[in-house]
Amino acid sequence: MKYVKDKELLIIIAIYIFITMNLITKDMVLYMNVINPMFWGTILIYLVWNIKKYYIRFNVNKRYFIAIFIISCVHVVAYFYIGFILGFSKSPYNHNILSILKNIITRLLPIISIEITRAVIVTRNKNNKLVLVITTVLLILAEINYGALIMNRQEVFQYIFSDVAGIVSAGILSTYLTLKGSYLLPVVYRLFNKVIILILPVLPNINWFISGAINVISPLVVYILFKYELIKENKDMRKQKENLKSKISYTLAISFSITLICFMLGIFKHEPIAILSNSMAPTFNRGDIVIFEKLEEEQLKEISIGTIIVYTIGDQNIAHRIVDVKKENGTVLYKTKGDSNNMADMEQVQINQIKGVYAFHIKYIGFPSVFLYDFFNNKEAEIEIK
Amino acid sequence: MRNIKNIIIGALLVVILIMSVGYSAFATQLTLNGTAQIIGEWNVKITGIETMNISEGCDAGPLQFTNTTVTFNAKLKKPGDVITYVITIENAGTIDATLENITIASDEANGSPAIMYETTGLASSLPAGEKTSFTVTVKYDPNCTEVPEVKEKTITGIIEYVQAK
Repeated sequence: MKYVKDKELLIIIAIYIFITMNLITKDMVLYMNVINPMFWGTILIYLVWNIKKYYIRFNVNKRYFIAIFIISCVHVVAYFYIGFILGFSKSPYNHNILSILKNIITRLLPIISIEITRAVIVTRNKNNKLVLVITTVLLILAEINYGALIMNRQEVFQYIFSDVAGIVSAGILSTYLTLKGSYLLPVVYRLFNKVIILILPVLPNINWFISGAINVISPLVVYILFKYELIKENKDMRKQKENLKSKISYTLAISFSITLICFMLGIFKHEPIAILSNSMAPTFNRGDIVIFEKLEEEQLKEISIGTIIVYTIGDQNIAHRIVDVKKENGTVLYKTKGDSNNMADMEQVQINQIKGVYAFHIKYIGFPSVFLYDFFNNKEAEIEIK
Repeated sequence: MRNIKNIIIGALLVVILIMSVGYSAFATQLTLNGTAQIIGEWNVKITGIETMNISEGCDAGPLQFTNTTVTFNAKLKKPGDVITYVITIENAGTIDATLENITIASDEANGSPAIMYETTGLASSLPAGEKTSFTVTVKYDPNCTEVPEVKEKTITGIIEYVQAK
């Protein structure tokens, strides 16, 4: 009996992605819960049914399998360890058996099917770089939730950098692992974390930024471990020296990325904010980055008139100078004012709103954030916090 | 090989830098909760708050909301005064949601003891793609005989939805 060949399979997936891009914007719920699982379920059943014709490798290098299992466990532990720093909150997933089953079918089955499809095409086209690239790109595109791209600008940005960047990173890693081992390696690596998220009643309090960073960096760490530690293909001394240099470069890049992420998250004593207005000119201007120092509650009580504080009102960070301090009903209230503003700020600041005190600023480097803020908020004019 | 290494490192740094710029642009607009890792699927959020039925001379205060919390500061003048707030919630994800818990917490330490509140119309189920709204009515106790010194109260509502069965 004739069976669907690799390239025909790619064409079917390409057509499905094209239809998906148009359909999902019309009914995202129907797509996510019915159409997508049905499509990938059908592909999975077909491939497994015809497994012998595709010559998929069931055998897997035991050493690689154990390594990927341990890496997956470390990934999950590291991920949940963040919860001990930032706290945990209740998972939105329902945990009765039927709901777990439904979530597995709608969320995990497509991933399993995608990895089997990758295995079928990759293992039979190992030396055809063009097919490998097309397969990787198509399977990355197949995983994107295009419905999320019709949300507001800010949510689209968050989705792209927390999820899509991770899908791209994981997709490339999966092709690499499939080339080096078998489809079981990416299946284990990719499902482990997702299953844990589906079944545990609490999840760490991470935001899109941390989630995106983990999703992007984690596959890269796996790639480095496999490439330079587990699969030592070349015993040539010169090549090994080159590998050592590469390892150092990767380690430096990842260390720099993690340090930057920690700095942005405010894990260190100093934290940056981008300045959106000229209300503190000439001390600092719109587009500058202010680095503020976080203080303990006791230290906060000692801040006095003339100090520039960074505080939050609603969803905004503001850096203004204290012009008056008074006590009302036992609560200390700080009156603040921008140096270039004519009047003091309307709302008085309480101690729990203060994030820290101004330490220093760096000129101009906050402009990309300011432009992005304006873009997210549909603002074209300058924002003045008066 | 060197090219591949440079591309990977370059791509990593570019992505992390763009993420950092984005994070800095709306750092304070984030709601820390456990749903960040399922963006797109789970997206139940508060999308608006407005006022109606404000008694004469009362002030509804600044209205603030994040994805999961809503805060307002109601200033009422005399017994019997009322302000009603209408809060809209949208399920923009792909998972049907059901109301798990609603917590309305008021600032008892600094707020007026004569100010009371009640919540009505909160839908227990919120299918994917739909919106619902509910009202929080803040009332100055009409039976209050003495006018207290403080006539305002800050109220924060936390609305918790979970996946429907």
